[in-house]
Amino acid sequence: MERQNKEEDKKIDIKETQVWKAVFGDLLFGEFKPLSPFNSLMRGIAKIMQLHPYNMSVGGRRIITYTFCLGGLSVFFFSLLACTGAFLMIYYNPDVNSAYANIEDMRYIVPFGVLIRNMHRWTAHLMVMFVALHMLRVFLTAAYKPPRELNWIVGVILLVMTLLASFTGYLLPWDQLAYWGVTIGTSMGENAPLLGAKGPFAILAPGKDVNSILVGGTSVGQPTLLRFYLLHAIAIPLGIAGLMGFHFWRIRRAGGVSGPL
Amino acid sequence: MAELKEKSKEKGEVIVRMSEKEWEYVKNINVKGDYKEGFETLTPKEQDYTVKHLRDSVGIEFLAGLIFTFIIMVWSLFMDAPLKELANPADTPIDERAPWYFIGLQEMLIFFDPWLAGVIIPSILLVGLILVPFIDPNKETGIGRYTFRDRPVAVSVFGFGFAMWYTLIIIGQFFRGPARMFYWPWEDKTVLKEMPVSEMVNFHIAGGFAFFILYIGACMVLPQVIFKNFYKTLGVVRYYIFMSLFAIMLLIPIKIFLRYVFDVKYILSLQIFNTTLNF
Ligand code: HEM
Repeated sequence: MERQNKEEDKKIDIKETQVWKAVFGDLLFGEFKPLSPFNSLMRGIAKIMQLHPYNMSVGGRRIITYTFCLGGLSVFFFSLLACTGAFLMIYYNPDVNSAYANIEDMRYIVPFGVLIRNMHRWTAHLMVMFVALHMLRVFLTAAYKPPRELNWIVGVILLVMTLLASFTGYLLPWDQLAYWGVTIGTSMGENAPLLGAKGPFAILAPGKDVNSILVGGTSVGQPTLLRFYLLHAIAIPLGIAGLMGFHFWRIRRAGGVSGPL
Repeated sequence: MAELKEKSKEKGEVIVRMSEKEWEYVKNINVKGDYKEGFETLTPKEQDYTVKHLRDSVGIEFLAGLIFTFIIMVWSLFMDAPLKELANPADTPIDERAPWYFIGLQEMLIFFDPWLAGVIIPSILLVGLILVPFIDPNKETGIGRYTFRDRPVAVSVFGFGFAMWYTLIIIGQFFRGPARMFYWPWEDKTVLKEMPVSEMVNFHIAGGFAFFILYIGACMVLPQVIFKNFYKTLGVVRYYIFMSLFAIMLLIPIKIFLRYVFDVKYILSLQIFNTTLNF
């Protein structure tokens, strides 16, 4: 008891300051109060989604250090992207004649448009980086070993989908950067062996190869813009959200994030 | 302590051995058990050493979300997302580049033909990534903690791949100017550099075959002979899958080296029917 008191004398505990208590005190860090609607809500949501175990062993809790939050932060960036993206969708029309003007409107006319667009873009960069770092942490802590092999594979698919989501979004402003960036990217499909029109042993004609499924023709144009828009705004986000749900469910089934044995 | 143990068994309590860090954590947190000071404490059997993870983590996560929202907002206030002129299919920019996360692939385009750089190599690396949990013969070591000493091969190989990937991205993003020429940071990227005068050469076809046979042979046989233990723990199938993937990964820096030092364009150029396959 004595040692404890001495420690407390020396440093100010930030959780004991009035500001902290006022902002976070009972709401977030205090005991659950049965009647607090916020707490019941959070608890309810979390319980239904089974994202966190209600209780956790001290040892298990201890290993959750900063690098174990990289996956969680990826989830956070994904939700931020969904919110800002929904806002951008209101003002954006996937048409080569208006797309660029829509983005310019976003910058100069729409209230807070430039802020939301910037946030969407920078968060996308962050998400790509954090997903890669999350993979690094999973590897370095050997978290892919049994029983988590399937989650590793789901993770690799998530990584690819994250990259594709960023890549399809890259075309939407329809500026020089977008057009030529995507032209380079899609030209790789053209060069696939057998299935690409320009690849070795090509068996398919230009405009009928794998690349044209993505591009909708022989070069990037209106069909490409529409396809990329649908992929970017609907298909890929739904896919990522679904796989994320599976990812988290598997973590719980494996008994939480991996702890030292 | 032994005496204490006996006592606690009778009362249906367990003894939890904790490190100092854990004790610091438990001490400050509302746990159901009666924790006593010290690294060995007595707790009731059921709730024993659990903490209210849900309650604590939701608060922390909320805070982390707030902080990151703030960072991103400030960043977005001061830095605009890029927007260039309207797309013009007739006007190819001299510095045509993919988005940064794919610039590693674009970087490889300099050294390999597009079907290799853009399709085959990335697909193989992806398959390799998916196979990681099955290639690793050691199913137990190091779970949940950072360790190099206990799994040196796994960590070095993966670290090498990860580092190579990001090196390619950094070079592609910051050291390439017009026409994908190499530019030091202090060189002006708006002026097109002169193309180097030296002609690139191919290996003679016999040399190319010899190179690949020797290279693949060396990759497959040498570790088997030198690191007998390594071969034994992996087993035959895993060993060959791992070494093939490793050989392909290593080929990337080897080709870059050959290109820059010996001006080698292709190691092996094969003519099969009407198709040329360049490696
Ligand atoms: C959109 C991308 C992704 C999201 C949102 C995501 C999210 C998460 C979250 C929240 C966790 C809990 C632990 C932590 O945060 O570290 C986790 C764990 C895990 N992730 Fe991911 N992840 C993604 C991509 C990946 C990738 C690319 C891989 C690997 C190739 C991967 C493999 C795993 C594995 C194996 C676990 C279990 C780790 C353990 O039990 O310690 N995930 N993921």
